[in-house]
Formats: sequence, structure tokens, C-alpha cells
Amino acid sequence: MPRAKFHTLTEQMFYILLCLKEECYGMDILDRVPAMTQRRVTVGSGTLYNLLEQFVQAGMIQETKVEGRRRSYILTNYGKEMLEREYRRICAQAEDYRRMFRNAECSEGRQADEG
Amino acid sequence: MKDKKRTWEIFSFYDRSGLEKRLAHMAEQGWLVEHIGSFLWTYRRIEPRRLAFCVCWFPKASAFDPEPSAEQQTFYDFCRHTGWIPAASSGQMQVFYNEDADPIPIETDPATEVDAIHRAAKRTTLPSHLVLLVMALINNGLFFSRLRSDPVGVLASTANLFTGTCWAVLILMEAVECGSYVLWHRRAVKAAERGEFLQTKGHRRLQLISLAVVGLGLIYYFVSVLTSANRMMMVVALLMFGVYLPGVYLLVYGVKALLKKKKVSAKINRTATIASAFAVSFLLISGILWGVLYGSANGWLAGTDEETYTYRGSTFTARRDALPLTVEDLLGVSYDGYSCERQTEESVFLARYEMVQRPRFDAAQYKEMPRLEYTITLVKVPALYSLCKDALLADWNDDWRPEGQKDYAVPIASAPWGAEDAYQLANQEYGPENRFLLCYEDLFVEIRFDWEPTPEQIALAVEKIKSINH
Repeated sequence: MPRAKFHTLTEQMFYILLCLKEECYGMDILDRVPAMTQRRVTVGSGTLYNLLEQFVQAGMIQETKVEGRRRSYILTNYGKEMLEREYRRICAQAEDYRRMFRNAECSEGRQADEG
Repeated sequence: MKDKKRTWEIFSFYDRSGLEKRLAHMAEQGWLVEHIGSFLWTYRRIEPRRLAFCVCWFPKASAFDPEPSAEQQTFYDFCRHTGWIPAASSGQMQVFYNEDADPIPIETDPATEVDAIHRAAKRTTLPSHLVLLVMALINNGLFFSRLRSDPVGVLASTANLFTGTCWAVLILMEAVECGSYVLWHRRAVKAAERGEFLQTKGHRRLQLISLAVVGLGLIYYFVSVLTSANRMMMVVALLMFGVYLPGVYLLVYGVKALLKKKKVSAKINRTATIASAFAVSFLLISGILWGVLYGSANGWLAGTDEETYTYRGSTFTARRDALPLTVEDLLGVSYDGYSCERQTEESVFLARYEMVQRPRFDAAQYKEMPRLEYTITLVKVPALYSLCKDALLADWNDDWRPEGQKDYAVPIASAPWGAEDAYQLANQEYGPENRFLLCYEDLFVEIRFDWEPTPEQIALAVEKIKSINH
């Protein structure tokens, strides 16, 4: 079930979809993801090839142009939805992190004042 | 200095880690893989250097594809973009190398990788291995069924033991191959859920040992056949291993290669190759069978002690083998026109000598000439003695005829035969026959007289027959 499969996105999936916010050749994603993440994230060619195929099957991206063996893709509305959901999930995680550490910092500050 | 090198690479079909290590080692030795054949891998000479290798699977590819499909070419383009150069492929398995010291791997997501391997395995490799496993199980079942019904015949036959061993080894190899893949896949899926790649671990040592067992079995089989006096068996073995097996392989492989060269579609190529495998196999087997029967009927396969004769329009074979005991020895009379036949089957467990002295159909005194028949079973492994005795007795007692007409073994005095045990065959309707089963320390004798033997003839028969053991 592709939808269940992409319920949460891996980092590589997230950045591949992000690259496809605008029409883009599949192969160019191999360079765009490292550039976008200061080489923190890289996508292997086999992984990219298979994920593009799976994203098309799941209706998250669509093929826009075929020039010889070069194919370009763009995010669909459903893909945007998935990306948006993943963004909110990451934001929620970040918010949880901040809340926990802000609280901890505040309580540490209070203890220091009392001391 | 040779620029090409061919080696037989033995690896599990999913063992990418083992293959990558092996290919990197070969590159360090100055050899780069360039072609993967059915048996042999071809390497070309290069400057020795450290190269990174990646073995991955493209599930949509087929061994019958005339050339890489457009999708596969796109996949290659992706790989080239990150420095991975296609080196060789075999069906769905793709081998790439990279000159970078620290390249971006082709697979960076373990779940995607496991999925690609599993899709490829499910499409071709696993079904082939499962078919082989089922075939091996059926054939091994038949072997054990024969072993149960005729243990003496099977244990004395090198050919039977060789094929039985081959099927058993195949069961072991296929069960380990399929079982270890299933286990690896299950663990790899769990590892992928944690974002980890799971290395593959083949069982190369087991595969090498299994192949060595089959190789030694083959050598033993050939030595037995080539040193036996049975010229027909020798010719059949040589035709099977020298003509049939290489013939089927070369013709079927040739059809596949030719259709690929002619750019025929994978679907048509697959159908034609499978059809040609059946056709070639059938034609070669029929040809060999016909040739052997024709050669035998015309005396071409006759040994030096063999001749053919025609009686009432049919051709028969008569032999002049040396027999340890003859009608002449026992009756002191001499007739012209006997065929003396001796057949030997020998393995590491048993030796079985079947001897018969029968009158030729064209003999002048055919009706007066008595016949003498005896089989000696020499037990080389003492642990098999009871099994053989039970089987030989069961052969007499296990009669399919209705009650009242059955044969059965009757214990008789063993002293006159100088044996440990002696039995006489009797029939419920006709009473005792002149057929005896004699059990000695390490051999059994089944002997059939055309007349009732006297004590003197029995003593002489025992002395002469036992001499075969010395």
C-alpha cells in the first residue's frame, strides 16, 4: 500500500519531494539535494531511481517531460499534501524539543536564583 | 601475457557483500569484471588499483533482454552521474564500479534496496531455486523409494549412488540458499526499519564442499564405468556426459545468445529458449537411445568376448565370459552353443556379480542343454550385511501372486553348503524348487539349477563360487 508506505517520509524522500516543488529532471535531484543541505544529505542513484518510480505510482509526483532518456517531474497536489504533513510533523517535533529544553532552562534558572 | 581471465565464481544469489569484496580484490590484482556468463565470469586486465564496487538489482531487467531497456539505460545514467560505471550484468543483477575513494553509494536507503532485491528475487531467482529444490526432493524421494525396495541393487550401483548423492547435495544447497535468503530478507527488513543496511553473508564454503563431493562422485563414477567390462554402460556414460549435457547447454545457450543478437524481444526469446531446451533434450536423448540400441543390435557395442547371431529373424547376443562355475564343471558333459554371461556392478558398499550360462537359441541341442544361473553379492561394509540378507529374503517372500501360488523361502540345513544360513525357494502350489539362497560371512549366493544337485555337485559349486572372493 503506497499511501501507508509513505505515511512518514525519510529525510531522503523529504528532500527529493522538496526539489520537485518546481519541475526538475530526475537526475538533477542527485546534485540539488546535497547542495540544498550543505552535503548533509545525499541520495544514491539507485535509491533516487526507485523512489521516483514509487512516488509516481503513489501519485505524489507526475512526469512532465521526456527528452530522450531524461525525464522531468513535478510534485502533485497529493505530493504537496504529504510534504506539508511531513513539515508539520517535523515542526511539531522541533516545538516539543524547544518546549522541553526551554522549561529545563527556566527551571535551572530558578534554581540558580534561589541558590 | 593474457588480457582476459575466466573464473568460476561461486556465491549465493543475493550475496552482494561477498561479491563486492571479491570484485574489489580482483581489481587490486589487476582484473576488472566485464562479462558474467552462465558459469564463468570474464575479467579484463587493468592497472591494479583500488576500486569501489556495487552489486545491485534492477528488477525489471531480464536475462533475455536483447539489450538494456530504456528504463535500465536511465538507471545507468543516474549511476554514471555519481561516478558509478556499469561493469557487467547478469539478468537483474548489475555490477558497477567507481574510481572515487569515497563515492556516494548507489543505495542510500536500506528499505528501497531490500525492496529491489526482493522484487528481483521473487521474479526469477527464488522461483528457479524452488523449482530445483522440488525437483531434487522428488528425485531423492524416488532414490530412497528404490533404495527401500531394492537396497542391494541400488547400493551396488555406482550410477545410482552417484545420482542419489547429487540430488541429496542439491537439496542441501537449495534448501540452504532459499532458507538463508528468507532469513536474511526478514532481518534486512527489520534493519531497514531502523535505517540500517544489513550485510549479506553467503555460505561459499558449504557450496565448495558440496561441489567437491559431486566432483569426486563424478570421478569415482567415471573410473568405475571406464574400468568395467560393460561396454554399453561405458558408451552410454560417455554419450551422456560428453554429448548430451554439453550439447543441451551449448544449443540452448546458443539459441538464447542468437536471439539476443537478432534483437528478438525478451518474451519471444524466453519462450523459444525454453521450447528449444525441451526439444534439444528430447532429440538428443532419443538419438542416444536409438544409437545405443541400434549399435547394440548390430554388435557395434560388443566386447571382444561377445558376438551376435540371428535366429528366426531376430538378433541375439551371445557372450563368452569366464564364469567361476559352469554346467560342464558340475555335470562333466560338454555342449556346444552356450552363452556365458557375467555382469558386474560394484560400488564402495557392495559388489554384485550376476552370472548365467544359457543355451543359445540356435544351439543344436537347445532342449537338452541345462541352464545355470547364480548371483553373488559381496558385502564390503559389514554393517550392511543384515540389510542385504533381509532384502534378498524379502525379494523371495514378497510375492505378488495370490494365496496358494506364492513363492516363499524355506530354511534348510546349511552344513552341506558350508554356509551360515541356507534357504530354498518353494512355491505354495508346486513345492520346493532348485533355487537356493546361501549366506556366508561376507557374501550371499543365489543359485538356480535346472536339475536337483547332488551333494558332490553342491560341494563343488560352493568351492568354485566362493573362489570369486579371493
